[in-house]
Amino acid sequence: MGTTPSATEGPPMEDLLVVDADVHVPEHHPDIAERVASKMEMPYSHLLDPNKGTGGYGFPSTGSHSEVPDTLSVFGGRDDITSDVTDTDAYIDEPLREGFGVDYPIINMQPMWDVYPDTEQIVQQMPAANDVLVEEFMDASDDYFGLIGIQTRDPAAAAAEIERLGDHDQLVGVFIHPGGQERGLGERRYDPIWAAAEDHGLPIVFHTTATGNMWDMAGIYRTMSKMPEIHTLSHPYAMMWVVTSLIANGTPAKFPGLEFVILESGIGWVPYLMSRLNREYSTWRSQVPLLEQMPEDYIRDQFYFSTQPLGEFNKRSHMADMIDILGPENIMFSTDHPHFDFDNPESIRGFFSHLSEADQRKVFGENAVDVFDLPV
Amino acid sequence: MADHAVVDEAELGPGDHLVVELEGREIGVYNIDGEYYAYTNWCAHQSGPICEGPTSGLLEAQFDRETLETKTQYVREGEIVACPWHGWEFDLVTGECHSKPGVKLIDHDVRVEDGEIVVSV
Repeated sequence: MGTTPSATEGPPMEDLLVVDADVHVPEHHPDIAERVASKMEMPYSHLLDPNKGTGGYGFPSTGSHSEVPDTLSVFGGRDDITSDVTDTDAYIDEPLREGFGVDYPIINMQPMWDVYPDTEQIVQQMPAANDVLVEEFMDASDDYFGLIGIQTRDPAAAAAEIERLGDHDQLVGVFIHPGGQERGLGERRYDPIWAAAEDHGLPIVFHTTATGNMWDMAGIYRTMSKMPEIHTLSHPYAMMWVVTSLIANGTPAKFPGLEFVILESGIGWVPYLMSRLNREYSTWRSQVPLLEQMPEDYIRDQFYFSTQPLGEFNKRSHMADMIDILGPENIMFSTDHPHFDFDNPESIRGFFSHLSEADQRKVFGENAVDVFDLPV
Repeated sequence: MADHAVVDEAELGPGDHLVVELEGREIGVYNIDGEYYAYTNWCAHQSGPICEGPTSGLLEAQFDRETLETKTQYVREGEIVACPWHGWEFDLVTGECHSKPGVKLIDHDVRVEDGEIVVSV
């Protein structure tokens, strides 16, 4: 196959000794990885074996709460369970709606475009992916809602994409994978994105990845050895930067109607950041002259934080204290389905049981209905 | 409350200020464009000596939502004092803190009488 017809009869290059200096048999291919893994000690024999579940993450369980594989797996998950992502009955309805009692999923494609080198590619990929989101998921059920994924490297193209899809009833927000941008997201170059989102009444949702973030905070992450090391810090580091950059550059003051939702970083770091930003702002006021109130006030007015993965103090009541300091008004429940570090809503509910029923309703659904303006 | 003659009028010209001790407290006395102001030399942040800080102007900014441009102006030169410890900025005319809403300098009445600056503490 694919050979060039030779000018003469007979095998090619017969008159010459040919040595090929580069032929690959990929060490990471499942076929090979399996064999390599079997020659290694635990935990690495587990980590590298493609049949053991979420390859590359290296923990002993399958990391899945259902028949749906954790789709972060380098090898696509266990070979005994399989589900097309587009089979929404199996991928969303069974595990989430029936299994966990979720009424309305807000779906994102977690596009990690910030780490792709080719700008032309991600500008083309953005509308292509969003069209798939609409065709395969929004069209599948009126009960599904979705987030418009945008790359931020070309802000004008991102704003145009928000214009293109912003009026779709089921597309209720804008999704950004932060951390690989060339500058902090508060830089004025990104203002066209916030303007377009604010004009369409769409909140901005930020969600990074443990691996995705390694590209930009490379100096930090490439020095980390273990997955728990990376995973502990990648999400909150990226989000501390997002919140800090937006506030330090005056973005919430420039776009007072815009709301920001921070995903997968837990909530315990937020009170700390509020207190630190207040202190820093009071020293540097003249460098942020657009702010009209304290950073804590902007966070309380315009920022929301999803619960997953909820942290676990030795003393359970300490998390209740954190929840009280941040306030149920600013907290939204999430599962992070289908990832291995998902939260079971019944378990999370236990951490909020000290709140009034009205406040629990806010956390588990009503804040999201409000911020995303869900027609439910 | 007692009146204290602090200094001759001629010795506190526009843009000048001094810190004196009255009734056991340090008081900063300022001449801003011919008007006089007096404040306790104490910053509400962490008790720093506010009246020993540099005076300056105030940076103001407005964002144009249509053009996405930010315009800045540096105004009121000499009317703002920054605490030498952590830079909290206070308005020497109103006593209000620009770095944290709701915070004020402790002010005292000042007047000119018989060519002297008199502060009531």
